[in-house]
Amino acid sequence: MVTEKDIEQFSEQCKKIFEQVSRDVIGQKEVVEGTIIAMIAGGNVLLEGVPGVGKTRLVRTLGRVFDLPFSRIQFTPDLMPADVTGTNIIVKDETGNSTFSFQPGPIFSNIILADEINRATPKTQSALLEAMQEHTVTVMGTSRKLNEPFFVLATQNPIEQDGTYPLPEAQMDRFMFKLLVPNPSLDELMAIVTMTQKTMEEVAECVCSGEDLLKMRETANQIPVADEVLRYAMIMTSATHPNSECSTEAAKKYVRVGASPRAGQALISAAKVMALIKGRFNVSFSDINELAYPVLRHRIKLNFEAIAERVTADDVIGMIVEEVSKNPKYKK
Amino acid sequence: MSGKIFKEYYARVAKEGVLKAVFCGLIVGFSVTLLAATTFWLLGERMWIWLSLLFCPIVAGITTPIFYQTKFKPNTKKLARRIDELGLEERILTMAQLQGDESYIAMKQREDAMKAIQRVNPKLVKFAISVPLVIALGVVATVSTSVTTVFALGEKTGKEYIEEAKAANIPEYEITYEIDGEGEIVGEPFQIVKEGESGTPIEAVPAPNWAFDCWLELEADDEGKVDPCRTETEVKGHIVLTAVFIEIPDLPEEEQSSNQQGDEVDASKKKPSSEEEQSQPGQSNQTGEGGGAGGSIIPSDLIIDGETVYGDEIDATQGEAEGDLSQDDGMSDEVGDIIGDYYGSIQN
Repeated sequence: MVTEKDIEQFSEQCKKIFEQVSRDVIGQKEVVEGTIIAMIAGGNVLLEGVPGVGKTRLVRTLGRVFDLPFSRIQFTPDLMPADVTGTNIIVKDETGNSTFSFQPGPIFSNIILADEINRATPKTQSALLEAMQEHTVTVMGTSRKLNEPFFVLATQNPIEQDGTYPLPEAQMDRFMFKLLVPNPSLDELMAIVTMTQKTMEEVAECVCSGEDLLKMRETANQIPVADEVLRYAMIMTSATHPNSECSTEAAKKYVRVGASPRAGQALISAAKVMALIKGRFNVSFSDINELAYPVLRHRIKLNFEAIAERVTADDVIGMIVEEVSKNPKYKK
Repeated sequence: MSGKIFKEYYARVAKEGVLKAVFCGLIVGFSVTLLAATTFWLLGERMWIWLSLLFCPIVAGITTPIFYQTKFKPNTKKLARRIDELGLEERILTMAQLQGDESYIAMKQREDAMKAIQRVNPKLVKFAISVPLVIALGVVATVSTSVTTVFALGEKTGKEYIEEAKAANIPEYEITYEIDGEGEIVGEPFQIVKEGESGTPIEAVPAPNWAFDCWLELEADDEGKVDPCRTETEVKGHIVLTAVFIEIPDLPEEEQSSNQQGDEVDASKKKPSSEEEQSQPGQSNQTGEGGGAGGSIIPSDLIIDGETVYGDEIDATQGEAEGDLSQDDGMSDEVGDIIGDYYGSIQN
C-alpha cells in the first residue's frame, strides 16, 4: 500500500535526481526525463544519436546518481557472448583438483551501458535478450538471477552503417524506450563548452539507492488508470498495425509490422511514472500521446513506400496519434 | 460526484441533453407529420392534411423525454468526460472510476481532482450540438412543412391522381356494328368503350321490303340474337356484329299492303276479304313506305301464290297428318305433341 510518505519520497527523489543529472548533462531535457522515467518504470533504454552528443556521459551520470554498480560494455564485432555474460573457467581447488568455476561477466551489474550495441554480431547481441527481459543469465545450463534493479542503457550511432549489425526486432522490442539524442542547441553548446573547459570531471552525486528506486517503482505502479485511458493506450498500440481492427490510415499506408503487446505494457508503466512526476495521480490521454513516440518508434517496421517517401517512424507515429486522438469513439 | 460543484456541471450538461432530445424529438415529429400528410393526401382526406401538422408537437412531446432518458441524460462518465475536456487531464474520469476506493492513492487522486476542478468554471462547458443534427432538423422541418402545405393547397389529392392514372390504364375495346343486306343501324355503329363498361343502345332497322333476320356473330342460343335492339354490356374485348337483313319477296301491291299491316292484323286466322284486300292498299298508301319498318315478318303470314296464306296451308297439312295417323289405332297424346311441335316450328 502506498502511503503519504511514499508519495512525498517519490517527489523528493525525482527532484534530486533531475538536479544531479543536470549538473553533468547540459540540455537534453527530454532524453534525461525519458531515461529516468524508463529507469523508474523498470525498462531498458536505447539511446540513438551521433557521436559526441553526450549519450555515454548521460548513462554514466545516471549510474553515479543512483548509486548502483555500473558496467560498461563496448560492443565490437569480435565481442563474444561469454564476454558479456561470463563463463565457466577451470580453477584448482585447495586439494589441487580442477573444477569449473563461473566467472561473471560485466552483465552482472545493475546498470549496463551497452555502448555502440549495433557493432556487435547478432549472436553477441542476443546474449542480452534473456538478461533484458527475464533479468536472468543462463550459462552452461545454469540460470543466474541478476541484481535488481537491472537496466540496460544502450547507445547506437545512426549514421555509421559499415560494420554494424542492425538490432533484431526481438531485441528492439525489449527496450522500453528508444530515445533520439539530438544535437545541443547553441546555448546548450556554449554551456557544455564552458563547463568542460573548467573540468571534465563528473560532479553528480549519489542521491538515490537501488532500494529507493525500487520503492519509487512500486509507488508509481499504484497510480490508477481509468478504463477509458487504458483502452486508449491499447488502441494506440493496435493502431500501428496495418491490419488490426482499429488500424489507422497512416499504418495501412506506411507500416509493414506494428507494435507488439510489450508496447502497450510499456505505455501504461511509463505513463504512470510520468503522471506521478508531473504531480498527478492519474494517467491522462496526453501522457499516452506523449509517450507514444519513444515507446513505438523502434517497434514499428516501415514498408517500402515509407522508405521511398522518406517518411520516418516519428512521422508515422505523429499521424497515428493525431488520427486516434481526434476520433471520439476511441476515447469512450 | 454529488457535490454542489458537480450539480452545476450536471445542470449544464443536462440542459445540453434536453436540447439534443428536443432536436431529435422534433425530427421525429416533423417526419411523422410528413408521413401523415402524405397518407391523408393519398387517401384524399384534404381536411386531415392540415390537421397532420398537429402531429408534430404531439409526437415531439412524446419522443423528447424518451430520447433524453435513453440517450442524452448525463451519467457519471459522460459528466466526467465533459469536465475533463476543460483541461483536467482525465482526473474526474479516474475519480469517478475510483468511487468507493478508500486507498491512500485513491484519496490523493480525489484530492488532486477536486483541487483541479476548483480552477475551472462550469460556464466553460459549452453546449455542444452536432452540426449534422441541426442540419437534419432544418431539412426535415422544411420538407415536412412545405410538402404538407403543397398537399393541402393542391388542386387534386393523391387519391384523385391515382384514380386518373388508373383510368388511363384501363384497356379500351371497339364495338362495330356492320350491315348485311339493306337496312341501317340506328345509334352509334362504331363505339369505343373501356373494359367492363357498356356500349350505347342501337337498333337494326331494315329498309323497305327488307326484314331484320339476326345478328350474325351471335350463337343461335344467344340472348338477343334476333332482337334488333341491343346494348353491349360488360365489354371484355373487341366486338364486331353484323345485322343480317333479308329481302321480303315481291308481292302484289294489295298483299304487300296487307303484310305491311302485320302488327295490326292477325293474318293467320282468316283470309283477308276482297273488300279488305281492296281497302288495305289504300291504308298502305296512307302509312307510306315506313309501314314495315321496325319489325320482322312472321313466316306463317306469308302469302305464297297470291291467294293462299302460308300459315293456313301448314295448319291444313298438320290437320291431315294428324287425321291420317289417328284413323287406325288412334294417336297417342305424345305423338300429337310431336306433330304439333313440328308444324309449329315450320310455321315459325
